[in-house]
Amino acid sequence: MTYFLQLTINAIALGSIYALTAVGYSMVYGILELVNFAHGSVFMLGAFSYYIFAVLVGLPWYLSFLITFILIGIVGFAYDRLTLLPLRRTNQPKFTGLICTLGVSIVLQNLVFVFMGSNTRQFPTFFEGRYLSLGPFNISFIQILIVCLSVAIMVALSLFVKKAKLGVAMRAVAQNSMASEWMGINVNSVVSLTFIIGSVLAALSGILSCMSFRSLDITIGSTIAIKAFTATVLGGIGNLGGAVLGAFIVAMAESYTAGFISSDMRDLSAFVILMLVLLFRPNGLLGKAVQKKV
Amino acid sequence: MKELLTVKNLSKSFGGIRAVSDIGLKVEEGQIVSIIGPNGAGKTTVFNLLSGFYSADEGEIIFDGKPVAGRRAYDFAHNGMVRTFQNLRLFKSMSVLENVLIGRQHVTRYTPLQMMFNTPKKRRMEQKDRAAAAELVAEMGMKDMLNVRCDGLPYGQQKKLELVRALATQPKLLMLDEPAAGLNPQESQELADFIFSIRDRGITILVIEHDMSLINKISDYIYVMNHGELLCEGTSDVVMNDEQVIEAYIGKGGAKRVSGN
Repeated sequence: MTYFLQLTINAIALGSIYALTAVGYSMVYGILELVNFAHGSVFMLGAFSYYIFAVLVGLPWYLSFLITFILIGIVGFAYDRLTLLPLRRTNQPKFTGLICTLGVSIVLQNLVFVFMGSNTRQFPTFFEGRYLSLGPFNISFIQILIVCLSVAIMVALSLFVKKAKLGVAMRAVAQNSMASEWMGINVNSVVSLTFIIGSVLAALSGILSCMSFRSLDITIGSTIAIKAFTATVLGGIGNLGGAVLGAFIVAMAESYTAGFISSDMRDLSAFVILMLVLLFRPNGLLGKAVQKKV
Repeated sequence: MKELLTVKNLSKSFGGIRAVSDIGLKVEEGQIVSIIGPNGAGKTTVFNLLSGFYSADEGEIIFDGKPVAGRRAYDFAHNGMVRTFQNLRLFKSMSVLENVLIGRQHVTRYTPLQMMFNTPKKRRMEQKDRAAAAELVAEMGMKDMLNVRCDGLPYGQQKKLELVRALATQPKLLMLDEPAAGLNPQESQELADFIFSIRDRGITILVIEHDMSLINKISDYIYVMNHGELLCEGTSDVVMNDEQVIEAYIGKGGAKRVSGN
């Protein structure tokens, strides 16, 4: 039982990271009906950017965070403007956009590979790996930080989408982009904003995840991409609450698989879940059945 | 009277088909102007050209003294031109108030700093925004439904909400695409009164419609189209008694019977 609870605690911390990433996926899908396969690469790019500024340049952590967020925000903006916007302008099918995100993902990964190489690096962390002992359980400080930060960001984000003028504009564009445009909303700016927020969230979760595992290499993006994608599909793609729920389910499955079966099998659990969801509930747990208009 | 919208020699072809050819229209400030015609006459194409949805092959559209060509869709609302859709395009999972607030988005603008720090001034602006939206909803007789999710409203009310949302953008010209489609005679009568009340707010209206009784009732001036061309224009008395118009609607034999030959 103790072992089970300890695994659950680990799963909650892991789930928070997945949730931050999955929300970015879900936001972009909600607005453009496009699965952004480059999201995982942005996650990895964020972690590398922090590493470069904090370790190689030697800036203090807060400056490294700030510079990374600004930089990745610009990357997210440029990514949409330079590659996806021209496709929308010329009314290309959605499928073309999907392939385009794959292409961007490959380009980003290889850019990092060219400049940083493929070796695994040690990632700086906070609190020197100290942890809190509550009876038989160990909770590391970094895990607590990750959970608190994620909860705070989720709450802020849901308030933003619900209340703020720009948040309302985002929901309007997601529901009917043509009518929004006619009501005087600049749809392309809203899409840019979505990409900026999504990318910054991906960068943040990339940094937090590397802080928690204390290592960094160029493949972390593709693993997280599969898991966050599973989480979004599981929760119902385009649904922010669903993305968070899905993230925790995937993290729990992964944690229990590693704990009770074998740690080699941990990544397998995400794929098994993905297949089961697609077989039995293709619209996700919280997603509604979509009727395509003909 | 000032001319709010002027259209000259407008033409548009799709492949080999000339959907609209050499159309000229004038809409004066404060008028209710209608475009009618049988199915396939090119009305909707004209509407889509006017609202920038298609670009014209030839011709000129001037709104409020400025040419419309090349403008982005969201610019139309900024410049005071707004349209509704034949098939409803509401934000379904939002409340009535939220839908109307979206119409006001471009009216109220904050600076990025105000947004980031949620300044008292911004909060006051937000409150004013909500109050103004709620007032508009109340004036249009939908007060009880302010916080109802709009996909729960009856169809007639949803159509009305689309009009209220369009009004929230504070337009000079309101373009209605078949506003009476799907309404029963009672609702259609209410719609006529509603359109008059909008005109009385100082808003010019351009309507495309099939429903002849509605058109007869509300129009100051009517343009009739057939096969992509203007058939006839004038006040409702002139248009309704025009032989060509009757022929276009009910065929040659019918036209003879109507005129008593």
